[in-house]
Amino acid sequence: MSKAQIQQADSAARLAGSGKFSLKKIFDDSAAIYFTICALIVIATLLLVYINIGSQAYQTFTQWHISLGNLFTSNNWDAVNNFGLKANFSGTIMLVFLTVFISAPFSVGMAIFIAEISPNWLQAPMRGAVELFLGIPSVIFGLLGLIVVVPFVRNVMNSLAGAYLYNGYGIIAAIIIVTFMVLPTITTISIDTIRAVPREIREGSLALGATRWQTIRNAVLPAALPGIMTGVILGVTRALGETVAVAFVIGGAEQFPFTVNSVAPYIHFSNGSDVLTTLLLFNFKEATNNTPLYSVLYTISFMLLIISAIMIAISRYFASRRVYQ
Amino acid sequence: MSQQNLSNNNTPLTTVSKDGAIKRVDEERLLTSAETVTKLRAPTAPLKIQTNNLNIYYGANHAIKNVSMPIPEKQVTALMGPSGCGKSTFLKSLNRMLDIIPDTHISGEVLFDNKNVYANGTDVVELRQRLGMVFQRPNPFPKSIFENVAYGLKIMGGFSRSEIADRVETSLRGAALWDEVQHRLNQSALGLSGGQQQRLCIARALAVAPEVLLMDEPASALDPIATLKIEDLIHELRQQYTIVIVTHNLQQATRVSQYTGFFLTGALIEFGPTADVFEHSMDERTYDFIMGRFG
Ligand SMILES: Nc1ncnc2c1ncn2[C@@H]1O[C@H](COP(=O)(O)OP(=O)(O)OP(=O)(O)O)[C@@H](O)[C@H]1O
Ligand SMILES: [Mg+2]
Repeated sequence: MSKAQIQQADSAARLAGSGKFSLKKIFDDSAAIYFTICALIVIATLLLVYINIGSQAYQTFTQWHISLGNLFTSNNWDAVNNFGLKANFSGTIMLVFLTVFISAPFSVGMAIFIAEISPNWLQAPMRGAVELFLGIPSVIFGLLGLIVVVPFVRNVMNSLAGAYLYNGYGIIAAIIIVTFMVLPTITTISIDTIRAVPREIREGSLALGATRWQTIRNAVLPAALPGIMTGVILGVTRALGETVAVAFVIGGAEQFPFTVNSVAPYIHFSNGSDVLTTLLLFNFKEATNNTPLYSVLYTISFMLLIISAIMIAISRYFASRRVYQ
Repeated sequence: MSQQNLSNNNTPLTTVSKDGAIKRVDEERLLTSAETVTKLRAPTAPLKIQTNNLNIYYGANHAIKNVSMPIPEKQVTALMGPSGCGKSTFLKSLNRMLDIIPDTHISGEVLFDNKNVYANGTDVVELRQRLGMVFQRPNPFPKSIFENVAYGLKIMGGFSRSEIADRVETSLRGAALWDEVQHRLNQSALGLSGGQQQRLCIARALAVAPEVLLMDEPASALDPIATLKIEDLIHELRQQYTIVIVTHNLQQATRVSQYTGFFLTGALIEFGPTADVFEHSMDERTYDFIMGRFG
């Protein structure tokens, strides 16, 4: 082969190569365009949701002259002239805090058992069981609540009171049901973060003479804490937004979840109350366009949106503090 | 007796009976195996540790074969050998860190101050505090620098705040880290450089006042300058502590150690003063390894 021939072959090969290259480039570019469009659609949808709900909510204040203070400090709700959300707001706060307060320690304990204590062969099935729990639709939880939890609450509370005072519906039944729904969320995330703590950390602790339990308490759990907190915040978000299951057992009455007075047992739980989400659910059917009720319901939606956005921000913060992924 | 037979046999060859006495099941078989005979130049220094006919199995994998090795007090003993020959396994057997690995079988004895650490009734917690361990990859806890060093003391309990603070400072000084961290004791240990993290791990081990330091390739994840600092530190520490160090780096072995043990496929091939092992190897395989012919 002469030098010229070699050069020719070389440039031909280069051409062919560049041909392939440009084909690949077209795919690359079209993929980039596709993904950009997807991202834009997501962002646009999100913006639309916020703008739509936000502007409807805004009318509460501009068109109907209901103040935020009015919404939060008044107890009086008749869905026509009075829109006091205090009872529902308190219900939501009670539901979220008590649910997470009960389920977080329990979930972490379960995660420690599954990830650290149970034998290897048991770990996968147990995690699978927890995940199965996670996948149960909320309507099933609601039905179980109706069939099992409400009668249970009724019996227990009436026998405690010594008289037939309670029908079983209300915040307590809701807390019990939502606790079961939040448990698997916190548990699975905690299992994963506990497992992500590297073996070296445990070895380092054991090599200093720590027992297995001391190692879990003083080395593994602190290392897993940001991840566990992410799980807890997701649990909060789930408790906050849960509607269907709660609707089955909450009783749907616009009254405070409980009242306090001077007669023993001092705290009297209400037969039926409401949380923000179920208030929305129960009232939207009747709400017609261009009424104060309509706008107030949008205001509630907007508040739920904002609170869950804040929760997501908090969980992102904890996620960013995770040391071991 | 071929090696095949030995490694396929997963029942321990000796067993420790209830009273801690070693019962030799089939000692003869091992001793006739040329592979597990150590060419030994016995140390003159007093011994801190002595293993006798130590055999370790991971399931059916015979990882340590009949190793009898002396470890002299307040000297640096280097363990070398090709990857997978059992150096880490041997090291972990000394402070019973193998206990946490499921399906391991151990027979033979590890005498620490003339007491078998595998005898019944050994306080493993105390044992691990007396034999501190430093790992290949620095493994600080995701806590503050102070909390890392105080960890072992808080586990032991019974120290006042000022005692803990004192010990933290002494240990950090002992690990040649104090000057670099004294103004940021409350910052996260994960913000330190790799070399600093490793010295922190040494300080952490020193805090519980050990007698022996077991180091598994403590510098292999570090850059040359950080490595030199660790080596200098090992020189310092030898005044007070017995040190056993696993190293892949032959120069490092000659720089830091007084004694060297050479392992090959789980057996201790040769043991003696480092200079002798390197300059007048008694076994051809040691010589080949030092000359870089394998491993
Ligand atoms: N946890 C374990 N389970 C089962 N087998 C193991 C375990 N750890 C080590 N082994 C096996 O034991 C043998 C010795 O391993 P060891 O880690 O002690 O070697 P090493 O000399 O430290 O190697 P390296 O230089 O690569 O660190 C190897 O065959 C290894 O595969
Ligand atoms: Mg090793």
